[in-house]
Amino acid sequence: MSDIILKGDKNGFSVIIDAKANYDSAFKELKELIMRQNVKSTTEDDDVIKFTIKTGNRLLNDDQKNSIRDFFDKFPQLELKDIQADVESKQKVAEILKENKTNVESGIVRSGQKLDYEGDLIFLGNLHRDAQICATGSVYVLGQVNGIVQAGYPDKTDAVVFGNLKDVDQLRIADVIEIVTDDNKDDFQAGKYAYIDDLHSISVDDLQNYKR
Amino acid sequence: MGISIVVTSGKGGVGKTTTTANVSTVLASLGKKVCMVDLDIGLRNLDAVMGLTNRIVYNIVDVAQHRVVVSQALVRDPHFEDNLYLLAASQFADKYVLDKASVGNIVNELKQRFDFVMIDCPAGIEYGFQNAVSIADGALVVTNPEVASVSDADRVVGILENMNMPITPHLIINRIRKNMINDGTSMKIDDIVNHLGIPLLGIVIDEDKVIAASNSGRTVAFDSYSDAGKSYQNIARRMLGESIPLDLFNHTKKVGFWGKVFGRK
Repeated sequence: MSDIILKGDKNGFSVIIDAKANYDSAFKELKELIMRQNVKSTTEDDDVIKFTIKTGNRLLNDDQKNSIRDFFDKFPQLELKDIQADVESKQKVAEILKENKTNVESGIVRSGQKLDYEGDLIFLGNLHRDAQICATGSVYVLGQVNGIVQAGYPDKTDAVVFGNLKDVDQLRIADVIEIVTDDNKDDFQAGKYAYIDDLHSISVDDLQNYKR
Repeated sequence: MGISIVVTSGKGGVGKTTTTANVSTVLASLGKKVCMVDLDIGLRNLDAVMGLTNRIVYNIVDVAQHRVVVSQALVRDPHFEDNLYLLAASQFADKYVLDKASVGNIVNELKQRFDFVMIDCPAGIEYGFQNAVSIADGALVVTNPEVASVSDADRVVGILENMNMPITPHLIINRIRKNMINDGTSMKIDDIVNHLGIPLLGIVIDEDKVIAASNSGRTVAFDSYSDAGKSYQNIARRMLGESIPLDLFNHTKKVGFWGKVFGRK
C-alpha cells in the first residue's frame, strides 16, 4: 500500500500524503513519483503542471514544507501551488477562538482605566469619563457609557458598536475616530449601531438594517 | 491592634487635611486612641490646622531614617488628654527619603498602640500618594461637588479598588454649597454617589467657620453651632458603627402665597 495518492482534477494534480504514514518514507515516495513521471524539459513554457500537496490530519513544519518546495523548484515544468492540511496548530486555533470570542464585562471602568479585549465585547457596566474600553471585535453597550469606546482595534473596519452611545466622548472603530458632541449626539441612540461606511467614516443606522 | 485609614482625594484643596483633623479629633473625643500621620512631605499643614506646629521636634523623616524612635516623634494634642497624637511631616526633607517599606513599618508600629491611624495623603497620585495608600487598611475619599474633583476621585477610587484594601473606600462629599444645592446649580449628591459607586460616609457643607477654626488651630467639629462640625461628628460616629441618618438637607423651596395659589404641583 502506498503512502501517497496522486489525483487529478480541474485545478491540476493533488498529491495526498497519508497522515498515518511515516513522513520521511512518504516524502521519498513523493520524490520517486515525480521523478518517475519522467518530465522532460519541454520548450513549451505554457505547459506547466500544477500540484497541490494535501497532508490531511498532518501538519507539516516549516522545514518539511521548505524541502518539498525546494524539490519542486528543481522542475521548471512543475509548479507547487499550495501545501494544505485539514488541521491547524493549537496555537493558531487558540488565536482564532480568541478572535471570535464574546467577552462579557460588568462593573465600573473608572477614570484612567483601560480594558482591552480580544474578540467581541458585551459591556453591561458603566464606563466613566476618561476611561476606555477597547475590543478587537464589535462592542455591544448596555450600561451608562461616558468615556471612549473602541471597536475593531486596530484595523478591523467591519466591527460595529451597538447601544446607546450619545453620552460617550469618543467612538472609535478601527482607525476612525468620531468625537461625540452635543451637535451629533442625537444620532447615537439606543436602537442604532455605528459602523464604518464606504467613505471610511463612521455612520449610524437602525438596528434592523444590520447585516453581518 | 488598630486600623490605618488614608484620607485621599487626588485633587488638591478639597479638604483632605481638614477632614483628617476633624475626624481624628472627634474620634479622640469619643475615647478612641488616634494618631494622625501627615505624609504630605514638604507641604505639611496638618500640624498648622491642629495648632501643633510649635510642638514639633522630630518628624516622620527622622523616624524613617532611624534618628529617633516613633514615640519620640509623636506630638501629643493637649486638648484631648492622651488620646490624640500627631506624627508630623518634614518640611525640609525631600519626599523621596520615604518609601513604602519605611512608611509601612512606622504605620504598623503605630497600629499596635492606637485604635486609628489617620493618614493625611498628599494631593496627586504619584510617589507620596502611593506610599500613603499602600499601607492603609481603608480609605476616605474626599471630593467636592464639582466635575474636576469628582473625576479625580474616580481615578483614585479606581486605583484603590485595584489594591484590594481590607475595608472598601468610603466617600465624603465636602464643601457642599447650600445655596447652589437650593438653586439646583450644583452637582447632585445622589449623582456623585451613584457615579463613584462607593458607600457614602457623610456630607459636609461649605462653611466659613471651617476655615476660621483651622486658622485658630482648632477644629470646627467642636463648634456646636456649626453644621459642618455636626457633619464631622456624624462621620466619625458612623466610622465607629453608629447608624446616623444622612442629613441630605432636602430643602423644600419656600413657596409664597401666590405660589400656593398658582403653584405647579
